[in-house]
Amino acid sequence: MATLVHHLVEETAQHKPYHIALKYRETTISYKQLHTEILFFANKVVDLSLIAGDRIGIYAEKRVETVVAMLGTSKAGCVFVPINPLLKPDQVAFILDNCSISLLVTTLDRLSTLLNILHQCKDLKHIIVMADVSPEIKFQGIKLTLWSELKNVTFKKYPKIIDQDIAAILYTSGSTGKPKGVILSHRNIVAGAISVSEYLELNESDRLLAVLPLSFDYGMNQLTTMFLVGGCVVLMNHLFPKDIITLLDKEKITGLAGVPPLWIQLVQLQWQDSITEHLRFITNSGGHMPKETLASLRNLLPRTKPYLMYGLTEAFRSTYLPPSEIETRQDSMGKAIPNAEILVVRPDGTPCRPEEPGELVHRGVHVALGYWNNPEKTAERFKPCPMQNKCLPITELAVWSGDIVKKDKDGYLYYVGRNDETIKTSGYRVSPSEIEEMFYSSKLVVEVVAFGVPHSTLGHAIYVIVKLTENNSNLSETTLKLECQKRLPAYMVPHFIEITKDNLLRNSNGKIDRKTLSTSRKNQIGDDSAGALK
Amino acid sequence: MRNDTTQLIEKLKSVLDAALFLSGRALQWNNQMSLLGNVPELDSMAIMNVLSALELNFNIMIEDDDINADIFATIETLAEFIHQKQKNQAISFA
Repeated sequence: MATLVHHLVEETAQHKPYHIALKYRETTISYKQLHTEILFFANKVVDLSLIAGDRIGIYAEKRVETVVAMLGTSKAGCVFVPINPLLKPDQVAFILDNCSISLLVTTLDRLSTLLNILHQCKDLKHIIVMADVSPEIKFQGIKLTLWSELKNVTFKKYPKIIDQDIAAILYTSGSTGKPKGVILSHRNIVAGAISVSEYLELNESDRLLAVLPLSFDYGMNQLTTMFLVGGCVVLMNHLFPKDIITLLDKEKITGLAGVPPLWIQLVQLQWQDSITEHLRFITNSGGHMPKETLASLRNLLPRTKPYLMYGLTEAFRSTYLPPSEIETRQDSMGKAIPNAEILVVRPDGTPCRPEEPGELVHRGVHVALGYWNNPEKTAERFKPCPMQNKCLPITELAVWSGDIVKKDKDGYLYYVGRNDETIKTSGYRVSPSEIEEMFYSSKLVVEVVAFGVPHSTLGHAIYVIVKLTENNSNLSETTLKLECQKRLPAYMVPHFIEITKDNLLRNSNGKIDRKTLSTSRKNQIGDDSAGALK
Repeated sequence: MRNDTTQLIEKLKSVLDAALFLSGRALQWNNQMSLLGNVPELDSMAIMNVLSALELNFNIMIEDDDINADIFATIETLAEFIHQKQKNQAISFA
């Protein structure tokens, strides 16, 4: 049985060596070939003298090499850190430095964007470029290896690791400060794959179209679940939503995972009637799917089963609503996934009554190992499990999600809101202070506050109020927005920028009063702000 | 004709460079280099900037139905698309 992440491919390569594991554009890779590529990569990692537990950053779009690097890292006993390909150099630099990445795997063009930040990454010793010709770039103290040099099949001595060891670090935002690295063990990831493939009833004939980034848990699950059951993952980097529909048809896809903004774009397009004949299921996570969107999807895809899911990276995956319940409870986020328990509790840890709002707490094998090198934030989110048996002397830790939910009398969960200031937009969690810091570092503003306002398609839209510096007092909202587009990934670019001449409102501690400011703007905008967005 | 194509490609690179804030990086691109996925700045949000910059600078109209991933495969495919657009629209104006 698979216990480590790379076992997922290894076992399938033994039983079904010629099944197709991956397809990207015109390239198809069987499980046997994928396994060989993974060994090439792992051997190179061992040759470069990395040791068990070293971090390997992977910054690339979805392509075969990206997948090979993730699993090859696992095989070499190291920790893979997939970096969202949408991130800009400053954010990449933060991650490389934060978890002391010693090997970076990236593409030639992405490498050229990083030239100005690599000197900040003190621990970086090696770069593997997904290219077969050497770029004319030299870095002090960093050794460059080409992907085409990964050809060594001779058996290496790989470090011995167990499923409790760290497999990956996935970066995610919270309500304050810089992104945090969620530490996942091999057990977390393998248990997640087993649990999800059980309730989606996945099998070896499934073909999943992977459109979500591989850098967060729901996206990574696209790979791990398919490798577990021996199915095929078709990788896609899309610019236009209609290309997704074309590929669903062309590749006879059986499953598609998406986030609400994607579904909202997709239902506005033409769908071939034949797609629902092979598209067995779709899954939604990363936010609530609007009623009308779900209705349109069910109309466009009458034979396709929709699964509504909820999860947070800290506990991998948490709940899902079975398709059979969708008619009667379409607002529900469902019940716990197999082998997890979901509690709804009051602040003191006592259980809520039916319909009483409380914090969602997840316990079980999916609970991550904490935030990388961040004991304070870890202590806020990973806390003793409520209602532990008094005779059990070792404290069990559970994830306190920060999401407020309620349970109906049949045990189905409903999302109510958050108890902190995290902005949830386009399926991402965004920290207000990360946006504020970008504005401050631009030196264009003296004061800034960022918060989320309700938005019908995005979940939250990002609203920013700024007071400009005197030298820049003529700047327009458009100029500020362009500055944001240069420095922030698309999902973090504010939708509303308000320029004020006054100092921002303070609370009794003398801090900018984000709460009052956000409440007043929420009321001004109302529930449906779609009109203000293009 | 050959000269026209070269000119169009050079102009295209500088338009992309400006629309995506690449500070000159696009000018160094190889014409066969893959654009889609490979250029971190080219995402679903930036594509709106790119499309309007192309319309403005090449004096063409781009409809939703015209565009798909194949057109944005490489600099060459994108240049060919613009070239065809210019040709067709010149005919329809004539």
